[in-house]
Amino acid sequence: MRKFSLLLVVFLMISLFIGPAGFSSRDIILNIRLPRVLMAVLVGASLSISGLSLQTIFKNALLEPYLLGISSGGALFVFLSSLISLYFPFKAPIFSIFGSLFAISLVLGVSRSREYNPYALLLSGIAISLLFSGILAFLIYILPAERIQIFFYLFGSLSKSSWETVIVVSVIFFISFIYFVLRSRELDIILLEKEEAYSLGVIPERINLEVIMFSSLLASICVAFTGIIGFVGLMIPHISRILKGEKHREIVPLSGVLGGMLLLICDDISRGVLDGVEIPVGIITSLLGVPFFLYLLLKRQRI
Amino acid sequence: MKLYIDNINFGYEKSGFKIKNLKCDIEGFTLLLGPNGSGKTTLLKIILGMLKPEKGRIMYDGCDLVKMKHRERAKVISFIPQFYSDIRGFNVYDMIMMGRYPYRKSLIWREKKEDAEKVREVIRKISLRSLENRYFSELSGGEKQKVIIARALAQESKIFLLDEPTAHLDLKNQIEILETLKRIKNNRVILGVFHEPFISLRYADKMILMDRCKIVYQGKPDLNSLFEFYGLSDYTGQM
Repeated sequence: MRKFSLLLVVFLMISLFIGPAGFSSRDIILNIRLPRVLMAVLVGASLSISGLSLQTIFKNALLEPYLLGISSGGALFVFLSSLISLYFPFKAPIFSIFGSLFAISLVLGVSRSREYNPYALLLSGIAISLLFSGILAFLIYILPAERIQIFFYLFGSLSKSSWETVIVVSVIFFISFIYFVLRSRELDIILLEKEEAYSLGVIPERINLEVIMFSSLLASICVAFTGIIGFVGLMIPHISRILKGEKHREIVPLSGVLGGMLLLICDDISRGVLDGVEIPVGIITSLLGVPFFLYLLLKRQRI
Repeated sequence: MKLYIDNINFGYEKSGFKIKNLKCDIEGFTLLLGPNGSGKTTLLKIILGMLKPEKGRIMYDGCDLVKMKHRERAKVISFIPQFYSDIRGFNVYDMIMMGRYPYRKSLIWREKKEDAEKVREVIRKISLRSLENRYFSELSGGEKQKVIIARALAQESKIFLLDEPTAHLDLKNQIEILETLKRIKNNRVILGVFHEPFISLRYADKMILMDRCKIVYQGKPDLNSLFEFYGLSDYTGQM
C-alpha cells in the first residue's frame, strides 16, 4: 500500500510538467496543472471505490457506475441544469446526484421485474446508460450552441478542473471514503451467503441501500465536473482484489490509490500524446476498459 | 434449553406454499428431514429472521425471537450453510473473527482484546491451530465447514441452524463434522437439515419429519418411521 501511495506521489509530480506548454511557469503549474492532476487523482479514486462497492453488494465483478447507468443519468441531468438560466450554488452536482439516483432506480426497477439473473442487472444498466447517453447526444445536437460540449459530456475530460471543483470533489470524496472504510466489515460480511450475513446481524438490504447512495454520490460528483469517464471503476477493483484479496479495509484505500494513479496516467496520455490536441480522457479509459470488460465477461467472474 | 416453534403461519403468495399453525419443539441435536420443497429451509429462514412469519412465536429462553432485533438475534443464532462464498484474502483467523461482529460496542466494528481471546480459545477447541494462518479459500470442504462451525462458536450463540452442512463431504469428513457437533453440543440447540440421514441419525437426539409444510413426525430418531414415511417399509430389514 505504501509503495503504491509513493508511486502515486511520483506520478503526480511528473504530471505537473506534462502539457502543451511544456515545462512551464509557476502560474500555469499552480493554477492550471495542479488542480487538474489533483482532480484526476480524486476522480479516479472516487470512480474506483464506487465501482468496488457496487461490485461487492451485487456480487458481480462486471459492474461499475458507467455500466449501471449512474454516470449517464448524472451527465444528462447536468446538461439539463446548464440549460436552466436560474443560478444557485452547486447546481451541476445537485442535478448530477438526482440524475444518478434516478438512473440507478430505473435500472434496479427494470432488472427486478423479472426473475433473478446475474446478467439482468448489467444488461439493464447498459440499456439505461445507452438511453440516457442517447437523449443527451440528441439534446446537444438540436442545440447548435452546445455542440462543442458533446465530447466533454460523453467522453469525459479533466480540462475544466479548477481549485473550486477540486475542493467540492474532495469534500464529497473524503466523506464517502470515511463511510466506506467504517463500513468495511459489513461489506466483507455481505460477500458471504445471505443467510450467513443475517445470522451475523448484517441485513444486506439495508447496507445495500446506503452503499448505492454513497457510490452514486461519488460517481455523480465526478460526472458533474468531468463528464462520463467509464471503466476505471471496473478495472481497478479487479486489480486490487488480485493484489490484496477481498478484505475491504485494505482494498477500499488500495482501489482509491490505484484508481487515482490510473486516471492520472490516462490524463497524461490524453494531454501528451497528440501535439496541441487533447484527447478526452474517457476515450483513453474506454480503450483500456473495453478489452478488460470482455476478458472478465469471458472469464465469467462472480467477484 | 428448548426452542419452541409456536403456531407459525407463513406463505408465499404466488406459489401457494403455505405453512399453517406449525408447532414443534426443538432440543439437543434435532434432525429436520423431509422431501424437497417440504418447507425445511423455509423453517430455518423463519427461525433465522430472514422471513417474517404472519403470526406465531418462536420462543427461546423466555424471549420471542420473532420480535428480537437482528443484532440481538445474532448473539443467539448462528447459521452454517451448505455452500459458502469463496472470499479471497481472509485467513482462518479472520473468518472466525467475523463471528464477533454482533458484539461490537459502537456502530463501527473494532477488534477488541476479548474478541481475540475468544477466537484463540475456539481455534484451540476445534483443533484448527495448524490452519490458523491459511487462507479460507484454499481449504478443503471439510476444513471450511469446521471453520464455519468455529465461527458459530466464536459467536457464542446457543442455537445452531445447519442447512445440509455435510452435503458435499466424503464419509470421513461427514463423520468428523458430526463428531465436532457432538463435542460442542453442551446445552445448545442444534437444528440441522441433512439429506443423508443414516449417519446423522446416530448422532441426533430428536427427529422431525416435514411434508408439504406440515410436521408429520416428531420424536426419537427412528429409521423405521423414516422408511415408513417414504413408503419404503419393505426395505427396513435390508438396512
